Amino acid sequence: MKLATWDDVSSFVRSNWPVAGEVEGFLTVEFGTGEGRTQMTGIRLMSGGTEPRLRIESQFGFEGDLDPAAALKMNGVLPLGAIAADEDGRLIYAHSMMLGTLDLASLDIALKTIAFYADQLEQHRSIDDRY
Amino acid sequence: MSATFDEIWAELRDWVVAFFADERIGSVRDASLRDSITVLAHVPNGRQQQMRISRVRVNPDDEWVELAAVVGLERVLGHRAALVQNQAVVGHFALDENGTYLYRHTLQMKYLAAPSDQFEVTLARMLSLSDYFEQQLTGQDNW
Repeated sequence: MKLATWDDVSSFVRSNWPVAGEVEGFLTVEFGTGEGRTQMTGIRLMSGGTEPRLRIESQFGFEGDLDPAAALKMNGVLPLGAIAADEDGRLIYAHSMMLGTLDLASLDIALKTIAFYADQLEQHRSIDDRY
Repeated sequence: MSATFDEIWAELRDWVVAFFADERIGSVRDASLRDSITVLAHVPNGRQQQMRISRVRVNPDDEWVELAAVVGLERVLGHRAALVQNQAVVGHFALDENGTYLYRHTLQMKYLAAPSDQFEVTLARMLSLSDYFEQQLTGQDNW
């Protein structure tokens, strides 16, 4: 079995969605999520560990938009991914997958699901469509 | 024709039971439920870590496998700190209905035909990380 590489992921993403931005090891895609809304979603190469992984991530708000305890309880029931916060207070919905043995078709589902849930979380606290 | 979710889950379950039949690796703690199996793994430094592996049905076309381990009571880690820690490469903190922290990760069932590196490597990482967090947060080896 041929192992997937970041170049494979990049080509797959580019052939399926318009890429809104790219820096080394990070692609951003803007998904339409219905009713004129969009959701910016990133695909990040994480190569620092024992095996390279992909992290799919989408910001949906800032601290204060969602009670942290409620976020942690939601993390226990979401089918994929989880709510995380960064040091600057950004709230992010994210999921990680191993890169090497990744079936690229699974990336399609994960990307769309992360974008959908992140947009739902953004709408949960606000009617804005900032991300 | 691709395997059904029932077939994939049955193969994963069989693989887990066979893998943990080796007492040097650990043991199966509970296989009484059809949609979940709980294992106890030996991890470095003589410690052990329990992990529940469950089937999660979202809809007939979308099923996931959940890996979840108890790592401490709610009081051992602040909520914000837990969310910041969720930037880890594998797994995330979640709170269950009993006020217990779980360390949890999910995998798409459709792409896990056993033997699956995605499943095996992720299970090994999750066992190791769950035990690490339990030790860091509680200093104990209860789960």
